[in-house]
Amino acid sequence: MSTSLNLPVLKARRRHVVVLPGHRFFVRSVPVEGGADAAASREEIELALESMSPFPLSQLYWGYWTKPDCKRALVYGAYRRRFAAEELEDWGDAEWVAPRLGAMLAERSPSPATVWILAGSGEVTALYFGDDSGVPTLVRSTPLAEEADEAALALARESLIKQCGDCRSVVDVESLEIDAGTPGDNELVVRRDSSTTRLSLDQAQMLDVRDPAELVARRRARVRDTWMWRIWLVSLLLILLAGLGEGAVFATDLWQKGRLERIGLQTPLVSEIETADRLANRIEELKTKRLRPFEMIAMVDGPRPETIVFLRTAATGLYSLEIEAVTDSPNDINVYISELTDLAGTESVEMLNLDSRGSQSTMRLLVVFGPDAFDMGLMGEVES
Amino acid sequence: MRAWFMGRLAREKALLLLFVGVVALVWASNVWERGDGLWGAARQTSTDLQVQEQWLLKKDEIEARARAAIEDLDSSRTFNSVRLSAELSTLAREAKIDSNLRSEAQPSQRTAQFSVNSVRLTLNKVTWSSLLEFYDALSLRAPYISIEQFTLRSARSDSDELSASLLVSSVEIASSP
Repeated sequence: MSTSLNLPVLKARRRHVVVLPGHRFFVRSVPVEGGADAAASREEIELALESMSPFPLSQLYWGYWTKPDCKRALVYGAYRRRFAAEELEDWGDAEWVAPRLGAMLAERSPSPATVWILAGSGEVTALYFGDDSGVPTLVRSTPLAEEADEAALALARESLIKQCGDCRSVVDVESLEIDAGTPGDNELVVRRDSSTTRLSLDQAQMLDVRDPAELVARRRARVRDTWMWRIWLVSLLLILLAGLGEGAVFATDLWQKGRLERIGLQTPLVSEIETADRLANRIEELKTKRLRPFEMIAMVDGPRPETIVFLRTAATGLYSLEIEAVTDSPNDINVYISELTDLAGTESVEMLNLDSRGSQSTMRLLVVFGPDAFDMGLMGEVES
Repeated sequence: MRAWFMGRLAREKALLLLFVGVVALVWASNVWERGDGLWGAARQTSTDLQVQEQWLLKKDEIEARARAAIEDLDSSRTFNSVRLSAELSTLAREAKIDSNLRSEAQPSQRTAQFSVNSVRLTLNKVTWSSLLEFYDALSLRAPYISIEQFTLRSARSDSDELSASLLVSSVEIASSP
């Protein structure tokens, strides 16, 4: 006994197009001002269609075809009630809904006085190009009965060619196939006999007979989907980079561990060298320089007025002495500092603090001596 | 993949995008944060290694300097920690201030060739002259014994009564095997 999990699978929607029979539309070739502005062209065509149609535009499924700077547009429309509700079911998610003849219009302009005969799907359609504008000047369609034979087809063909008038060239379209492409493609592929034409979705939208608001919404959805696709790609790229970064972090971490291990191994030896260096310096200092606190005290005691009493002295470096003293005669402080400053061997005298309470003042002085203030031959002592 | 993605319904696309986007952002920021930290640590390690390399390169030079530093010193006149304390007690006794002496040995700093030993001395209620006598005697032991820190206090009530605090260090040369 086997069990299987019926997990939902995300399947891509297939794109499809809805091709309508041409004979259900009235088709006219109308003159237009032309120009590069697509919105202006559309308004012009709407006006032309309104003037020729017995129904308001809102009651029509209509589309058109023109080319940039062309003075002519092919307009087609059909009364909405001619399409049953079940026929409209597929339209909602179709990429393109247009009469069959629309697929032919993106082709390269034929020479003037050429008729394209498009047979099949229960109808025969003639597209007559009276000039080289690339927009048919006349389009005629006739339906064919399902049981129509070759003779009936030939008869209908001849009739349509005659309706077109002056024809110098007749092109019979043997096969016409419209490939909707895959989701995300920006074009439809039209295969006629052995030739292939690409119809961009923007061009296809002119030919589309659906409601203009719906077409605008579809265009917005396409733009939105394009941006979503770009963000999707950026996200995937970010994930790829994060994956590469993860690998790099892992490799760096391994490398770093090796180096930290090396540091750990070297640290005792380096500490030993550092200590040796520090102690060598210290011994050198011990040999050549000596802290001489009593000499310093003797020097600063020389000019001391009787009123100043030392409370604390501290040798804060080889050549500096901090003095904390008290006096009942604050005027003597300045005299004493002045005397110290003038003293041979002192580099600087700095008052760190002065605190007066009543007649008693407590001060802190920092006296810095020059290196040769205590001129004594230390090396001579070492040697002796 | 474009056809697969674009063929999704709008809400499926939005959900997929949200999921992938969040994963991408969270993962990328996490990797970035760890990478940044690791990069900083790696740079610090490089600096540490460079510093260590410099010390190792200077090893012979420092050892030679350390040898030279003790070359002039007579190893028999150097003091270990115990000898230093004993010597200081002797000097204090000679200056008649041994009863006022309190000493405390400090941790020694050692290398293979020598060490520096330190003792903190406190002399309470001593006179200037006896302190000076002690200092003069101590000075004669230089550079084997030397003062590194010195503080002298006098009582406010009696300026002749002094208290001194000294950090005294001695060099000890390791005897040759």
